[in-house]
Amino acid sequence: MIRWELYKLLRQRRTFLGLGAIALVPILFVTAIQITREGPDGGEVPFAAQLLENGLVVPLITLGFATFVLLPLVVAFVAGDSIAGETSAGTLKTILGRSVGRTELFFSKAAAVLVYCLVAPAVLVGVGLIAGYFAGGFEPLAGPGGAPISVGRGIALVWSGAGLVALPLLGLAAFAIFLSVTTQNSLGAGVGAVVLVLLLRLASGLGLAGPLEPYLLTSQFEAWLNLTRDPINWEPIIRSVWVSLLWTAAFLAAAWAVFVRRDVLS
Amino acid sequence: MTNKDGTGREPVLEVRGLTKKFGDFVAVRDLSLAVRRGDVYGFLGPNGSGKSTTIRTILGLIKPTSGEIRVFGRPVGGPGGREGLAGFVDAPGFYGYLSARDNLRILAAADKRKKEPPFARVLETVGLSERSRDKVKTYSTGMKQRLAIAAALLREPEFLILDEPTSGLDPGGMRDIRALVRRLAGEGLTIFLSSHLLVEIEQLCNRVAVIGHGRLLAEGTLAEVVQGTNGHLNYRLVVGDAEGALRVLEDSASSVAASSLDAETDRMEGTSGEEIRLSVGPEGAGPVVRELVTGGVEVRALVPVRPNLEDLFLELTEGGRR
Repeated sequence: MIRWELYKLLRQRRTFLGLGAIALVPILFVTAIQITREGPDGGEVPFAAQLLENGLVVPLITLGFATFVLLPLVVAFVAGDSIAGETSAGTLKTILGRSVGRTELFFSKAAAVLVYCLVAPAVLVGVGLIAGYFAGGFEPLAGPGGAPISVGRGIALVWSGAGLVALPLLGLAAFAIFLSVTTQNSLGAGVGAVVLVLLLRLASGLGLAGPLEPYLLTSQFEAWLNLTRDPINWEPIIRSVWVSLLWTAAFLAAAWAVFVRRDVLS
Repeated sequence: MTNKDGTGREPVLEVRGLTKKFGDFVAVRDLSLAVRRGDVYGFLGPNGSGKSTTIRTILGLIKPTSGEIRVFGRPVGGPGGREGLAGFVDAPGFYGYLSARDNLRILAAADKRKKEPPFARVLETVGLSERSRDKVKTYSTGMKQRLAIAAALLREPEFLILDEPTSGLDPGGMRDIRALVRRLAGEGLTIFLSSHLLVEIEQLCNRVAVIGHGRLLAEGTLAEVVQGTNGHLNYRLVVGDAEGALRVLEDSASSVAASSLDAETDRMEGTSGEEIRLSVGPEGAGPVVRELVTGGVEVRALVPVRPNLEDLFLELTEGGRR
Protein backbone atom coordinates (compact mmCIF):
# COMPACT_ATOMS: atom_id res chain seq x y z
CA MET A 1 0.00 0.00 0.00
CA ILE A 2 2.88 2.40 0.78
CA ARG A 3 4.13 1.98 -2.76
CA TRP A 4 0.75 2.99 -4.16
CA GLU A 5 0.42 5.91 -1.77
CA LEU A 6 3.77 7.21 -3.01
CA TYR A 7 2.69 6.59 -6.58
CA LYS A 8 -0.47 8.64 -6.05
CA LEU A 9 1.58 11.42 -4.48
CA LEU A 10 3.90 11.34 -7.48
CA ARG A 11 1.02 11.62 -9.91
CA GLN A 12 -0.58 14.67 -8.32
CA ARG A 13 0.15 18.13 -9.60
CA ARG A 14 0.09 19.54 -6.07
CA THR A 15 3.15 17.48 -5.16
CA PHE A 16 5.24 18.98 -7.91
CA LEU A 17 3.93 22.49 -7.47
CA GLY A 18 5.27 22.33 -3.91
CA LEU A 19 8.59 20.79 -4.86
CA GLY A 20 8.89 23.15 -7.83
CA ALA A 21 8.36 26.16 -5.59
CA ILE A 22 11.01 24.82 -3.25
CA ALA A 23 13.48 24.21 -6.10
CA LEU A 24 12.88 27.73 -7.36
CA VAL A 25 14.11 29.32 -4.13
CA PRO A 26 17.85 28.72 -4.61
CA ILE A 27 17.57 29.32 -8.36
CA LEU A 28 15.84 32.67 -7.84
CA PHE A 29 18.29 33.52 -5.10
CA VAL A 30 21.32 32.95 -7.34
CA THR A 31 19.66 34.66 -10.31
CA ALA A 32 18.68 37.68 -8.25
CA ILE A 33 22.21 38.13 -7.00
CA GLN A 34 23.64 37.71 -10.50
CA ILE A 35 21.27 40.35 -11.83
CA THR A 36 21.92 42.84 -9.03
CA ARG A 37 25.66 42.32 -9.38
CA GLU A 38 25.45 43.26 -13.00
CA GLY A 39 23.31 46.27 -12.19
CA PRO A 40 22.36 48.79 -14.87
CA ASP A 41 24.97 51.32 -13.78
CA GLY A 42 27.67 48.68 -13.88
CA GLY A 43 28.31 49.23 -10.20
CA GLU A 44 28.27 46.37 -7.73
CA VAL A 45 25.65 45.89 -5.09
CA PRO A 46 27.55 45.69 -1.79
CA PHE A 47 28.25 42.11 -0.62
CA ALA A 48 26.44 40.48 -3.55
CA ALA A 49 29.70 39.42 -5.11
CA GLN A 50 30.91 38.03 -1.79
CA LEU A 51 27.78 35.92 -1.54
CA LEU A 52 28.56 34.32 -4.82
CA GLU A 53 32.23 33.87 -4.15
CA ASN A 54 31.28 30.67 -2.39
CA GLY A 55 28.40 28.62 -3.76
CA LEU A 56 28.24 26.57 -0.56
CA VAL A 57 26.50 29.52 1.04
CA VAL A 58 23.53 29.23 -1.29
CA PRO A 59 21.95 26.02 0.12
CA LEU A 60 22.66 27.14 3.68
CA ILE A 61 21.05 30.55 3.30
CA THR A 62 18.08 29.25 1.35
CA LEU A 63 17.57 26.45 3.90
CA GLY A 64 17.45 28.98 6.71
CA PHE A 65 15.09 31.13 4.69
CA ALA A 66 12.76 28.33 3.56
CA THR A 67 12.18 27.01 7.08
CA PHE A 68 10.31 30.20 7.90
CA VAL A 69 7.46 29.90 5.44
CA LEU A 70 7.93 27.85 2.32
CA LEU A 71 8.82 24.39 3.64
CA PRO A 72 6.14 24.43 6.37
CA LEU A 73 3.60 25.77 3.88
CA VAL A 74 4.25 23.11 1.24
CA VAL A 75 4.32 20.27 3.75
CA ALA A 76 1.18 21.55 5.49
CA PHE A 77 -0.85 21.49 2.29
CA VAL A 78 0.35 18.10 1.09
CA ALA A 79 -0.24 16.53 4.52
CA GLY A 80 -3.53 18.37 4.97
CA ASP A 81 -4.79 16.84 1.75
CA SER A 82 -3.73 13.29 2.60
CA ILE A 83 -6.97 12.00 4.15
CA ALA A 84 -9.37 14.89 3.53
CA GLY A 85 -8.61 14.89 -0.21
CA GLU A 86 -9.67 11.25 -0.44
CA THR A 87 -12.72 11.86 1.69
CA SER A 88 -13.96 14.67 -0.54
CA ALA A 89 -13.12 12.80 -3.77
CA GLY A 90 -15.09 9.81 -2.50
CA THR A 91 -12.07 7.54 -2.94
CA LEU A 92 -11.77 6.81 0.78
CA LYS A 93 -15.03 4.86 0.77
CA THR A 94 -13.95 3.08 -2.41
CA ILE A 95 -10.68 1.91 -0.90
CA LEU A 96 -12.12 1.11 2.54
CA GLY A 97 -14.70 -1.10 0.86
CA ARG A 98 -11.82 -3.46 0.01
CA SER A 99 -9.98 -5.80 2.36
CA VAL A 100 -7.30 -3.39 3.57
CA GLY A 101 -7.63 -2.42 7.23
CA ARG A 102 -7.96 1.17 8.29
CA THR A 103 -4.77 1.08 10.35
CA GLU A 104 -2.70 -0.13 7.43
CA LEU A 105 -4.23 2.42 5.09
CA PHE A 106 -3.66 5.23 7.56
CA PHE A 107 -0.02 4.45 8.15
CA SER A 108 0.65 3.95 4.44
CA LYS A 109 -0.72 7.42 3.81
CA ALA A 110 1.21 8.87 6.73
CA ALA A 111 4.41 7.18 5.53
CA ALA A 112 4.03 8.68 2.05
CA VAL A 113 3.60 12.15 3.57
CA LEU A 114 6.60 11.65 5.84
CA VAL A 115 8.70 10.66 2.83
CA TYR A 116 7.61 13.92 1.24
CA CYS A 117 8.86 15.76 4.36
CA LEU A 118 12.30 14.26 3.76
CA VAL A 119 12.28 14.93 0.03
CA ALA A 120 11.26 18.59 0.28
CA PRO A 121 14.34 19.91 2.15
CA ALA A 122 16.53 17.52 0.14
CA VAL A 123 15.28 19.10 -3.09
CA LEU A 124 15.96 22.53 -1.63
CA VAL A 125 19.58 21.86 -0.70
CA GLY A 126 20.20 19.64 -3.73
CA VAL A 127 19.15 22.38 -6.11
CA GLY A 128 20.92 24.90 -3.86
CA LEU A 129 24.20 23.01 -4.13
CA ILE A 130 23.97 22.77 -7.90
CA ALA A 131 22.94 26.42 -8.34
CA GLY A 132 25.60 27.55 -5.89
CA TYR A 133 28.28 25.48 -7.58
CA PHE A 134 27.59 26.95 -11.00
CA ALA A 135 27.26 30.47 -9.62
CA GLY A 136 30.40 30.61 -7.52
CA GLY A 137 32.05 27.22 -7.09
CA PHE A 138 32.75 25.75 -3.65
CA GLU A 139 35.22 27.26 -1.16
CA PRO A 140 35.80 26.47 2.52
CA LEU A 141 33.30 28.29 4.72
CA ALA A 142 33.98 30.58 7.62
CA GLY A 143 32.14 29.16 10.66
CA PRO A 144 30.34 31.38 13.20
CA GLY A 145 33.50 31.45 15.40
CA GLY A 146 35.70 32.23 12.41
CA ALA A 147 37.14 28.72 12.19
CA PRO A 148 37.22 27.45 8.60
CA ILE A 149 34.89 24.66 7.51
CA SER A 150 36.28 22.52 4.71
CA VAL A 151 34.27 22.01 1.49
CA GLY A 152 33.69 18.34 2.36
CA ARG A 153 32.42 19.19 5.81
CA GLY A 154 30.44 22.06 4.33
CA ILE A 155 28.57 19.71 1.99
CA ALA A 156 27.98 17.27 4.85
CA LEU A 157 26.70 20.22 6.86
CA VAL A 158 24.26 21.15 4.12
CA TRP A 159 22.78 17.63 3.96
CA SER A 160 22.66 17.15 7.73
CA GLY A 161 21.00 20.54 7.97
CA ALA A 162 18.33 19.37 5.54
CA GLY A 163 17.89 16.21 7.59
CA LEU A 164 17.45 18.16 10.82
CA VAL A 165 14.98 20.54 9.20
CA ALA A 166 12.97 17.52 8.02
CA LEU A 167 12.32 16.46 11.62
CA PRO A 168 10.08 19.36 12.68
CA LEU A 169 8.48 19.08 9.23
CA LEU A 170 7.44 15.56 10.22
CA GLY A 171 5.81 16.96 13.35
CA LEU A 172 4.04 19.61 11.34
CA ALA A 173 2.90 17.01 8.80
CA ALA A 174 1.52 14.86 11.61
CA PHE A 175 -0.44 17.84 12.90
CA ALA A 176 -1.78 18.54 9.40
CA ILE A 177 -2.76 14.87 9.01
CA PHE A 178 -4.60 15.10 12.33
CA LEU A 179 -6.48 18.16 11.05
CA SER A 180 -7.05 16.37 7.74
CA VAL A 181 -8.75 13.47 9.55
CA THR A 182 -10.76 15.59 11.96
CA THR A 183 -11.87 18.44 9.70
CA GLN A 184 -12.19 16.36 6.49
CA ASN A 185 -11.27 19.53 4.65
CA SER A 186 -7.98 19.66 2.71
CA LEU A 187 -7.67 23.40 2.58
CA GLY A 188 -8.75 23.87 6.20
CA ALA A 189 -6.21 21.32 7.39
CA GLY A 190 -3.40 22.97 5.38
CA VAL A 191 -4.30 26.45 6.58
CA GLY A 192 -4.69 25.18 10.15
CA ALA A 193 -1.18 23.75 10.14
CA VAL A 194 0.27 26.96 8.71
CA VAL A 195 -1.57 28.95 11.36
CA LEU A 196 0.00 26.73 14.03
CA VAL A 197 3.46 27.59 12.67
CA LEU A 198 2.64 31.31 12.62
CA LEU A 199 1.21 31.25 16.16
CA LEU A 200 4.20 29.39 17.54
CA ARG A 201 6.56 31.81 15.80
CA LEU A 202 4.56 34.71 17.19
CA ALA A 203 4.68 33.23 20.69
CA SER A 204 8.46 32.89 20.36
CA GLY A 205 8.85 36.38 18.95
CA LEU A 206 6.84 37.95 21.75
CA GLY A 207 8.54 35.82 24.40
CA LEU A 208 5.22 34.30 25.44
CA ALA A 209 6.39 30.69 25.45
CA GLY A 210 8.66 31.12 28.47
CA PRO A 211 10.20 27.83 29.59
CA LEU A 212 8.31 25.97 26.84
CA GLU A 213 10.25 27.81 24.15
CA PRO A 214 12.81 25.02 23.51
CA TYR A 215 9.98 22.51 23.05
CA LEU A 216 7.93 24.42 20.48
CA LEU A 217 7.80 22.74 17.10
CA THR A 218 9.04 25.89 15.38
CA SER A 219 12.06 26.18 17.65
CA GLN A 220 13.32 22.93 16.16
CA PHE A 221 13.74 24.52 12.73
CA GLU A 222 16.83 26.36 14.00
CA ALA A 223 18.51 23.36 15.63
CA TRP A 224 20.60 22.60 12.54
CA LEU A 225 22.49 25.90 12.96
CA ASN A 226 24.26 24.31 15.90
CA LEU A 227 25.99 21.99 13.43
CA THR A 228 28.05 24.96 12.23
CA ARG A 229 29.61 25.47 15.65
CA ASP A 230 33.02 24.11 16.48
CA PRO A 231 32.76 21.97 18.47
CA ILE A 232 29.18 21.04 17.49
CA ASN A 233 26.64 21.92 20.16
CA TRP A 234 24.78 18.61 20.40
CA GLU A 235 22.35 19.39 23.17
CA PRO A 236 19.81 21.44 21.12
CA ILE A 237 20.23 19.02 18.22
CA ILE A 238 19.39 15.98 20.31
CA ARG A 239 16.49 17.86 21.87
CA SER A 240 15.24 18.76 18.41
CA VAL A 241 15.23 15.09 17.43
CA TRP A 242 13.14 13.87 20.33
CA VAL A 243 10.88 16.91 20.51
CA SER A 244 10.09 16.63 16.79
CA LEU A 245 9.51 12.90 17.01
CA LEU A 246 7.27 13.42 20.03
CA TRP A 247 5.11 15.92 18.13
CA THR A 248 5.00 13.50 15.20
CA ALA A 249 4.05 10.47 17.29
CA ALA A 250 1.46 12.34 19.35
CA PHE A 251 -0.47 13.78 16.42
CA LEU A 252 -0.19 10.64 14.30
CA ALA A 253 -1.56 8.60 17.19
CA ALA A 254 -4.42 11.04 17.71
CA ALA A 255 -5.20 11.11 13.98
CA TRP A 256 -5.09 7.31 13.80
CA ALA A 257 -7.41 6.95 16.78
CA VAL A 258 -9.98 9.17 15.07
CA PHE A 259 -9.51 7.61 11.64
CA VAL A 260 -10.09 3.99 12.67
CA ARG A 261 -13.29 4.81 14.54
CA ARG A 262 -14.87 7.36 12.31
CA ASP A 263 -17.89 6.68 10.14
CA VAL A 264 -17.06 7.23 6.48
CA LEU A 265 -20.01 9.20 5.21
CA SER A 266 -18.83 10.80 1.99
CA MET B 1 -29.81 -26.81 3.45
CA THR B 2 -33.05 -25.28 4.49
CA ASN B 3 -33.23 -21.99 6.25
CA LYS B 4 -36.02 -20.76 8.41
CA ASP B 5 -38.17 -19.28 5.69
CA GLY B 6 -38.05 -22.54 3.87
CA THR B 7 -36.72 -21.30 0.55
CA GLY B 8 -33.90 -23.80 0.79
CA ARG B 9 -31.31 -21.27 -0.27
CA GLU B 10 -28.37 -20.27 1.84
CA PRO B 11 -28.53 -16.74 3.25
CA VAL B 12 -25.79 -14.54 1.80
CA LEU B 13 -26.62 -11.38 3.72
CA GLU B 14 -28.44 -11.27 7.02
CA VAL B 15 -29.24 -7.93 8.61
CA ARG B 16 -30.80 -8.21 12.06
CA GLY B 17 -32.15 -5.33 14.08
CA LEU B 18 -29.86 -2.80 12.43
CA THR B 19 -30.14 0.67 13.95
CA LYS B 20 -27.89 3.59 13.08
CA LYS B 21 -28.16 6.93 14.83
CA PHE B 22 -26.29 10.12 14.03
CA GLY B 23 -26.74 12.09 17.22
CA ASP B 24 -30.48 12.29 17.75
CA PHE B 25 -31.25 11.46 14.14
CA VAL B 26 -32.18 7.86 13.52
CA ALA B 27 -31.08 7.04 9.97
CA VAL B 28 -31.97 3.34 10.13
CA ARG B 29 -34.31 1.85 12.70
CA ASP B 30 -34.43 -1.82 13.61
CA LEU B 31 -33.96 -3.03 10.05
CA SER B 32 -33.91 -6.75 9.35
CA LEU B 33 -33.65 -8.43 5.99
CA ALA B 34 -32.11 -11.47 4.36
CA VAL B 35 -30.68 -11.96 0.90
CA ARG B 36 -30.29 -15.52 -0.26
CA ARG B 37 -27.92 -17.06 -2.77
CA GLY B 38 -29.00 -16.33 -6.32
CA ASP B 39 -31.24 -13.42 -5.41
CA VAL B 40 -31.24 -10.18 -7.30
CA TYR B 41 -32.50 -8.28 -4.33
CA GLY B 42 -33.95 -4.85 -4.84
CA PHE B 43 -33.53 -2.30 -2.10
CA LEU B 44 -36.07 0.33 -2.85
CA GLY B 45 -36.53 3.65 -1.18
CA PRO B 46 -36.63 7.34 -1.88
CA ASN B 47 -33.59 9.55 -1.34
CA GLY B 48 -32.88 9.96 2.35
CA SER B 49 -34.70 6.78 3.34
CA GLY B 50 -31.63 5.12 4.85
CA LYS B 51 -30.55 3.03 1.84
CA SER B 52 -27.03 4.39 1.68
CA THR B 53 -26.58 4.24 5.44
CA THR B 54 -27.59 0.58 5.36
CA ILE B 55 -25.18 -0.16 2.51
CA ARG B 56 -22.35 1.74 4.21
CA THR B 57 -22.89 -0.40 7.29
CA ILE B 58 -22.82 -3.59 5.22
CA LEU B 59 -19.59 -2.45 3.54
CA GLY B 60 -18.05 -1.69 6.95
CA LEU B 61 -17.73 2.05 6.31
CA ILE B 62 -19.84 2.96 9.31
CA LYS B 63 -20.47 1.13 12.54
CA PRO B 64 -24.03 0.25 13.49
CA THR B 65 -25.41 1.73 16.70
CA SER B 66 -26.96 -1.66 17.32
CA GLY B 67 -27.83 -4.79 15.42
CA GLU B 68 -25.89 -7.34 13.49
CA ILE B 69 -24.85 -7.86 9.89
CA ARG B 70 -23.55 -11.15 8.59
CA VAL B 71 -22.24 -11.87 5.12
CA PHE B 72 -21.86 -15.57 4.33
CA GLY B 73 -22.48 -16.17 8.02
CA ARG B 74 -19.56 -14.02 9.21
CA PRO B 75 -20.01 -10.72 11.03
CA VAL B 76 -18.93 -7.95 8.61
CA GLY B 77 -16.88 -6.15 11.25
CA GLY B 78 -14.83 -9.25 12.08
CA PRO B 79 -11.86 -10.88 10.37
CA GLY B 80 -12.63 -11.92 6.80
CA GLY B 81 -16.04 -10.31 7.22
CA ARG B 82 -16.05 -8.81 3.73
CA GLU B 83 -14.72 -11.94 2.05
CA GLY B 84 -16.74 -12.72 -1.06
CA LEU B 85 -18.45 -9.32 -0.91
CA ALA B 86 -17.82 -6.36 -3.19
CA GLY B 87 -19.73 -3.27 -4.06
CA PHE B 88 -19.98 0.44 -3.90
CA VAL B 89 -22.10 3.10 -2.29
CA ASP B 90 -23.23 6.45 -3.69
CA ALA B 91 -21.46 7.96 -6.67
CA PRO B 92 -18.30 5.90 -7.14
CA GLY B 93 -15.09 7.70 -6.18
CA PHE B 94 -11.95 7.23 -8.25
CA TYR B 95 -8.61 8.96 -8.62
CA GLY B 96 -9.38 11.21 -11.57
CA TYR B 97 -5.72 11.94 -12.24
CA LEU B 98 -4.99 8.25 -12.78
CA SER B 99 -6.04 5.86 -15.52
CA ALA B 100 -8.79 3.29 -14.95
CA ARG B 101 -6.13 0.61 -14.96
CA ASP B 102 -4.09 2.37 -12.26
CA ASN B 103 -7.24 2.85 -10.20
CA LEU B 104 -7.95 -0.86 -10.45
CA ARG B 105 -4.35 -1.69 -9.55
CA ILE B 106 -4.60 0.42 -6.39
CA LEU B 107 -7.88 -1.24 -5.42
CA ALA B 108 -6.41 -4.67 -6.12
CA ALA B 109 -3.49 -3.81 -3.83
CA ALA B 110 -6.04 -2.90 -1.17
CA ASP B 111 -7.70 -6.29 -1.67
CA LYS B 112 -4.63 -8.13 -0.36
CA ARG B 113 -5.26 -11.16 -2.53
CA LYS B 114 -2.37 -13.31 -3.61
CA LYS B 115 -3.97 -14.24 -6.90
CA GLU B 116 -3.33 -11.99 -9.91
CA PRO B 117 -6.49 -9.89 -10.25
CA PRO B 118 -8.42 -10.30 -13.54
CA PHE B 119 -7.87 -6.71 -14.78
CA ALA B 120 -8.39 -7.42 -18.48
CA ARG B 121 -11.45 -9.56 -17.92
CA VAL B 122 -13.35 -7.09 -15.72
CA LEU B 123 -12.57 -4.20 -18.06
CA GLU B 124 -13.84 -6.33 -20.93
CA THR B 125 -16.98 -7.25 -18.98
CA VAL B 126 -17.96 -3.62 -18.48
CA GLY B 127 -16.79 -2.57 -21.94
CA LEU B 128 -13.96 -0.27 -20.87
CA SER B 129 -10.97 -2.12 -22.33
CA GLU B 130 -10.29 0.48 -24.96
CA ARG B 131 -10.44 3.42 -22.59
CA SER B 132 -8.64 1.76 -19.69
CA ARG B 133 -5.48 3.82 -20.12
CA ASP B 134 -7.31 7.13 -20.12
CA LYS B 135 -7.50 9.24 -17.01
CA VAL B 136 -10.74 8.67 -15.13
CA LYS B 137 -11.44 12.40 -15.01
CA THR B 138 -12.14 12.19 -18.75
CA TYR B 139 -14.85 9.55 -18.14
CA SER B 140 -18.58 10.17 -18.40
CA THR B 141 -20.87 9.34 -15.47
CA GLY B 142 -21.86 6.11 -17.18
CA MET B 143 -18.26 5.06 -17.67
CA LYS B 144 -17.52 5.77 -14.01
CA GLN B 145 -20.48 3.62 -13.02
CA ARG B 146 -19.18 0.83 -15.23
CA LEU B 147 -15.69 1.25 -13.78
CA ALA B 148 -17.22 0.97 -10.31
CA ILE B 149 -18.77 -2.34 -11.31
CA ALA B 150 -15.43 -3.45 -12.79
CA ALA B 151 -13.73 -2.50 -9.53
CA ALA B 152 -16.22 -4.59 -7.59
CA LEU B 153 -15.84 -7.56 -9.96
CA LEU B 154 -12.06 -7.38 -9.50
CA ARG B 155 -12.58 -9.00 -6.11
CA GLU B 156 -14.26 -11.92 -7.89
CA PRO B 157 -17.15 -11.66 -5.44
CA GLU B 158 -20.08 -14.00 -4.98
CA PHE B 159 -22.16 -11.17 -3.58
CA LEU B 160 -22.31 -7.80 -5.27
CA ILE B 161 -23.76 -4.61 -3.81
CA LEU B 162 -24.70 -1.91 -6.28
CA ASP B 163 -25.98 1.40 -4.96
CA GLU B 164 -28.11 3.23 -7.52
CA PRO B 165 -25.93 2.03 -10.41
CA THR B 166 -28.00 3.86 -13.03
CA SER B 167 -28.14 7.14 -11.13
CA GLY B 168 -27.31 10.10 -13.34
CA LEU B 169 -27.28 8.07 -16.55
CA ASP B 170 -29.08 8.73 -19.81
CA PRO B 171 -31.54 6.07 -21.03
CA GLY B 172 -28.87 4.34 -23.11
CA GLY B 173 -26.51 4.20 -20.15
CA MET B 174 -29.28 2.85 -17.94
CA ARG B 175 -30.06 0.12 -20.45
CA ASP B 176 -26.38 -0.89 -20.63
CA ILE B 177 -26.03 -1.11 -16.86
CA ARG B 178 -29.26 -3.08 -16.50
CA ALA B 179 -28.14 -5.49 -19.20
CA LEU B 180 -24.86 -5.89 -17.36
CA VAL B 181 -26.61 -6.56 -14.05
CA ARG B 182 -28.82 -9.16 -15.74
CA ARG B 183 -25.77 -10.82 -17.26
CA LEU B 184 -23.94 -10.93 -13.91
CA ALA B 185 -27.01 -12.37 -12.23
CA GLY B 186 -27.14 -14.94 -15.00
CA GLU B 187 -23.56 -15.89 -14.16
CA GLY B 188 -24.72 -16.79 -10.67
CA LEU B 189 -23.83 -13.70 -8.66
CA THR B 190 -26.09 -12.74 -5.80
CA ILE B 191 -26.86 -9.04 -6.24
CA PHE B 192 -28.13 -6.42 -3.84
CA LEU B 193 -29.31 -3.48 -5.89
CA SER B 194 -30.52 -0.26 -4.39
CA SER B 195 -32.66 2.07 -6.41
CA HIS B 196 -35.37 4.63 -6.15
CA LEU B 197 -36.75 3.53 -9.52
CA LEU B 198 -39.50 0.97 -9.28
CA VAL B 199 -39.20 0.12 -12.96
CA GLU B 200 -35.56 -0.79 -12.49
CA ILE B 201 -36.38 -3.09 -9.59
CA GLU B 202 -39.21 -4.59 -11.62
CA GLN B 203 -36.91 -5.36 -14.53
CA LEU B 204 -34.09 -6.83 -12.54
CA CYS B 205 -35.09 -8.16 -9.14
CA ASN B 206 -36.83 -11.26 -7.87
CA ARG B 207 -37.10 -10.00 -4.30
CA VAL B 208 -37.41 -6.54 -2.90
CA ALA B 209 -37.27 -4.65 0.37
CA VAL B 210 -38.89 -1.25 0.63
CA ILE B 211 -37.42 1.21 3.08
CA GLY B 212 -38.72 4.60 4.13
CA HIS B 213 -37.65 6.88 6.98
CA GLY B 214 -35.11 4.25 7.99
CA ARG B 215 -37.69 1.52 8.51
CA LEU B 216 -38.40 -1.60 6.55
CA LEU B 217 -41.86 -1.07 5.06
CA ALA B 218 -42.23 -4.25 3.07
CA GLU B 219 -40.24 -7.23 1.98
CA GLY B 220 -41.02 -10.06 -0.36
CA THR B 221 -41.33 -10.84 -4.02
CA LEU B 222 -42.04 -7.84 -6.17
CA ALA B 223 -45.60 -9.00 -6.80
CA GLU B 224 -46.27 -9.30 -3.07
CA VAL B 225 -44.91 -5.86 -2.36
CA VAL B 226 -46.43 -4.05 -5.30
CA GLN B 227 -49.86 -5.47 -4.61
CA GLY B 228 -49.73 -3.51 -1.43
CA THR B 229 -48.75 -4.24 2.09
CA ASN B 230 -50.71 -6.83 4.04
CA GLY B 231 -51.91 -8.28 0.76
CA HIS B 232 -54.00 -5.22 -0.02
CA LEU B 233 -55.06 -4.64 -3.60
CA ASN B 234 -55.67 -1.28 -5.17
CA TYR B 235 -58.44 -0.33 -7.56
CA ARG B 236 -59.94 2.65 -9.19
CA LEU B 237 -63.68 2.52 -8.94
CA VAL B 238 -65.93 4.58 -11.18
CA VAL B 239 -69.34 5.17 -9.64
CA GLY B 240 -72.34 7.34 -10.30
CA ASP B 241 -72.10 9.02 -6.93
CA ALA B 242 -68.78 9.10 -5.09
CA GLU B 243 -70.13 10.57 -1.88
CA GLY B 244 -72.80 7.91 -1.61
CA ALA B 245 -70.25 5.19 -2.29
CA LEU B 246 -67.91 6.50 0.39
CA ARG B 247 -70.80 6.55 2.87
CA VAL B 248 -71.55 2.90 2.12
CA LEU B 249 -67.90 1.94 2.43
CA GLU B 250 -67.52 3.72 5.75
CA ASP B 251 -70.06 1.34 7.28
CA SER B 252 -68.60 -1.62 5.41
CA ALA B 253 -67.75 -4.82 7.19
CA SER B 254 -64.95 -5.55 4.68
CA SER B 255 -61.38 -4.39 5.25
CA VAL B 256 -61.47 -1.57 2.81
CA ALA B 257 -60.00 1.86 2.56
CA ALA B 258 -61.39 4.33 0.10
CA SER B 259 -60.90 7.91 -0.87
CA SER B 260 -62.36 10.00 -3.60
CA LEU B 261 -60.04 11.11 -6.36
CA ASP B 262 -59.79 14.51 -7.87
CA ALA B 263 -62.43 14.13 -10.56
CA GLU B 264 -60.82 16.63 -12.89
CA THR B 265 -57.30 15.28 -12.97
CA ASP B 266 -57.70 11.60 -12.37
CA ARG B 267 -60.70 10.79 -14.48
CA MET B 268 -60.15 7.78 -16.69
CA GLU B 269 -60.70 8.24 -20.33
CA GLY B 270 -63.86 6.78 -21.77
CA THR B 271 -65.75 6.45 -18.51
CA SER B 272 -68.07 8.99 -17.10
CA GLY B 273 -68.74 9.14 -13.40
CA GLU B 274 -66.92 9.89 -10.23
CA GLU B 275 -63.82 8.05 -9.20
CA ILE B 276 -62.87 6.46 -5.95
CA ARG B 277 -59.60 4.94 -5.01
CA LEU B 278 -60.02 1.62 -3.25
CA SER B 279 -57.62 -0.44 -1.24
CA VAL B 280 -59.09 -3.78 -0.29
CA GLY B 281 -57.98 -6.81 1.66
CA PRO B 282 -56.79 -10.12 0.24
CA GLU B 283 -60.40 -11.26 -0.27
CA GLY B 284 -60.48 -8.92 -3.30
CA ALA B 285 -62.92 -6.33 -4.57
CA GLY B 286 -65.92 -8.68 -4.91
CA PRO B 287 -67.44 -8.19 -1.44
CA VAL B 288 -66.98 -4.43 -1.65
CA VAL B 289 -68.70 -4.20 -5.01
CA ARG B 290 -71.55 -6.33 -3.68
CA GLU B 291 -71.96 -3.99 -0.72
CA LEU B 292 -71.94 -0.97 -2.99
CA VAL B 293 -74.53 -2.41 -5.30
CA THR B 294 -76.67 -3.50 -2.37
CA GLY B 295 -76.29 0.01 -0.98
CA GLY B 296 -77.67 1.41 -4.20
CA VAL B 297 -74.47 2.73 -5.69
CA GLU B 298 -74.11 2.40 -9.45
CA VAL B 299 -70.73 0.76 -10.18
CA ARG B 300 -69.59 1.60 -13.70
CA ALA B 301 -66.00 0.36 -13.73
CA LEU B 302 -63.47 -1.33 -11.52
CA VAL B 303 -59.86 -1.02 -12.64
CA PRO B 304 -56.96 -2.66 -10.82
CA VAL B 305 -54.15 -0.22 -10.18
CA ARG B 306 -50.53 -1.18 -10.10
CA PRO B 307 -49.12 1.49 -7.91
CA ASN B 308 -46.20 3.52 -9.11
CA LEU B 309 -43.46 4.12 -6.61
CA GLU B 310 -45.08 7.23 -5.26
CA ASP B 311 -48.34 5.43 -4.64
CA LEU B 312 -46.52 2.46 -3.20
CA PHE B 313 -44.81 4.69 -0.71
CA LEU B 314 -47.92 6.49 0.30
CA GLU B 315 -49.52 3.10 0.58
CA LEU B 316 -46.73 1.72 2.70
CA THR B 317 -46.16 4.72 4.89
CA GLU B 318 -49.78 5.66 5.45
CA GLY B 319 -51.30 2.22 5.23
CA GLY B 320 -53.56 3.37 2.44
CA ARG B 321 -55.83 5.27 4.81
CA ARG B 322 -56.08 8.77 3.53
